[in-house]
Amino acid sequence: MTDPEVAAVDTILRRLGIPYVVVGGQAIARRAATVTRDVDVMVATRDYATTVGRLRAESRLAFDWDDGNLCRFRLLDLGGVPLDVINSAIFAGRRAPAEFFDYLQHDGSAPADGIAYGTPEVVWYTRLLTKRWRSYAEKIVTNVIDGVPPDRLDAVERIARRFGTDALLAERVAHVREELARPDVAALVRRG
Amino acid sequence: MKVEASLLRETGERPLPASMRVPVRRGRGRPRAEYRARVRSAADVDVLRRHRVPALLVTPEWVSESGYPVRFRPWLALPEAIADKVSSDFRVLPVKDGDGLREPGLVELIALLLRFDPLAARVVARKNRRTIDPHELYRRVRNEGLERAATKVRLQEFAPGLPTVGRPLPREELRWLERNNPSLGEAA
Repeated sequence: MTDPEVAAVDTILRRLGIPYVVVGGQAIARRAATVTRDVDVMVATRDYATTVGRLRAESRLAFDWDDGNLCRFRLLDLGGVPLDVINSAIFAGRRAPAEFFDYLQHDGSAPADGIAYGTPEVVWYTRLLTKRWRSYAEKIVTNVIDGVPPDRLDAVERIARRFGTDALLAERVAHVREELARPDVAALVRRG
Repeated sequence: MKVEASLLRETGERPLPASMRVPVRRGRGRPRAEYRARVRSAADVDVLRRHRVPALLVTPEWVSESGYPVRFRPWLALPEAIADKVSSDFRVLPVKDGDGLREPGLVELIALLLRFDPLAARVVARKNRRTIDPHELYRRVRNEGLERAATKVRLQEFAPGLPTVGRPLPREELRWLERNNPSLGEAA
């Protein structure tokens, strides 16, 4: 079943004809239970500026800010839930900016109810590449406690190698593995 | 040497319903039979609580109502001394001090969340900072040995005096997280 927040975003983006993939917590929620209400969607870098421009004209969205790679709106009909539109180029590493969205569409997502959701490894990869990776590492630990297999971290490393970001991600993935190896966490994972 | 705990029916107390009893072994004398409690639903948890077993279901509804809109499979919190005496379809979350499970409030919820979702614990503490008792929060965190998780999400802001163990997450990251998680019905 599609969450009302995702359904609301899908209605708008579909009407505008903008290809996108749901990432972040809502995508993780297809495999594990934990999710918050905010919606993150990733778009092709060639569509980013157009997407932001068209969404700013939507009466059901409030525009917050745009830094060129991430744009924040709020869903007015749903109590101001944040909608983040993400430029996929920032995750392409050493490859051409368009390649990450191509990968996301063809290999890094799966459809549910007609909506494309990023796989857990893609979500983890994008989260660990951000400057707030330490907090996102904590969320990854929670995802694993909640049922996402920890070996998805191997897939994160494969994505990083593909895009040439492996050197940057190595320490961050190692940090997550260390946290997962803590006895209290490992015990919860076993109980899950 | 090891210490074993058992769930025993007191004199005059009604037994658990048969559907909630799983025989473990039969013996002579008293108690003649040993059972494990079987918990398959929230109603079963209520039955256990009525029998004064400090069992508590940690549900996403409870966490969402407390300021962090989230969904997860519920956890069954139990004192660790009896956690192995209960069979459950719920995931079991053992705690050291079962007394807090008897009349749980926000502080207990925060302490439980620290175990499996420290960021959620932080948001619940922040959104309820005017009503939570800092002394009680201090006591629960110390009793459960959760200082490291508490430090990670800077619970010292809500329970001054909590020892710092390990490295806290950057303050700016925690603020970002709090801004990204409006409560149900909360306006932007």
